[in-house]
Amino acid sequence: MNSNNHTNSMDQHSSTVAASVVVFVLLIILTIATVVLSGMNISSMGALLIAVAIATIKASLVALFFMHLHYEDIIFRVFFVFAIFALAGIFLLTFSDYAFRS
Amino acid sequence: MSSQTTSGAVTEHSEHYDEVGTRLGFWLFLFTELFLFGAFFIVYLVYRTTYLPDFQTASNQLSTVIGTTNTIILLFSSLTVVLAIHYMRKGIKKMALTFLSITILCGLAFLVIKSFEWGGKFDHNLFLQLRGNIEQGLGSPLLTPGSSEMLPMGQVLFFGLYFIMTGTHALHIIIGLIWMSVLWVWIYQGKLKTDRAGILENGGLYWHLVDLIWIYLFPLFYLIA
Repeated sequence: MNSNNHTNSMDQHSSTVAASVVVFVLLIILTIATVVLSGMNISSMGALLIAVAIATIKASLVALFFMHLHYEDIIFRVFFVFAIFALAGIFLLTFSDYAFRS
Repeated sequence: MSSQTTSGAVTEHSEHYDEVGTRLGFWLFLFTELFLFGAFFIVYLVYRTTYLPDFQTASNQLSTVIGTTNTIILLFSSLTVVLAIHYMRKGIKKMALTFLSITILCGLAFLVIKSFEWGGKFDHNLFLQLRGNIEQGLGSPLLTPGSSEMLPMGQVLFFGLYFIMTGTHALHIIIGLIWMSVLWVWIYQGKLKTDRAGILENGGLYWHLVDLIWIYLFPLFYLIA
């Protein structure tokens, strides 16, 4: 495995700081967006979908940049995608069961 | 790759240390955390679908201002962890310690705000109760089945989930805080050197995961309009 992934050059380091601050600002903007949108009159299903969608964008930003998945070896992303698929599968199966209960 | 033959004492820095492997292993642990909270979210979604009007009424009792403040505090603490790791890698110990201190303070602020919020719910008799207490008539009236002032089932479930989920989350914050504090001391004493920044990095990953879970908890509990 490539172990010098993380021993970057100084240049990359300073760009990491700038990128992190930009990501933080985006996260704050998205937080405010969720709060503002929740105050609007949208159907409950629509509101849930919007809230989860925005949360997922925020979570992706955290995972990719704060948790460094973007800079990691490909194997980290493969593992991550598998875990998310497994979780999504459990959600889907549970709800397909729940939806058809009498 | 040369492997370590002796077991036990880890003192030498010349020994083999697989940083990427350590991090990958830590990610596997984080996936188990995803499934822990995933199970909670399934329960939440099922009851929300069943008792939507009750969930909306109950959610209105949570303060959006408090929730938003705590969200911003956690997001900011995530940023400072990133910066602490960055300066640790660069070998600037002082900056690393400063940012780590800010992270710890943010975590404490989160918990203090949370405890005030929980305290308010205790005062309104909304805390979880034990079966034994209910039987002895000691349970909170709002949650006791059979009492005339009992809340509708959906609201009882909402507050139950609220306490369990934010409680488990707060427990993670506490563990994260202990971890960060230990690392702070190690860095300060010089026990943790920059070539072992991976330990700090795994602490950072844990902290971010806790942040990531809060990102979902916040709209699902505080913002059900």
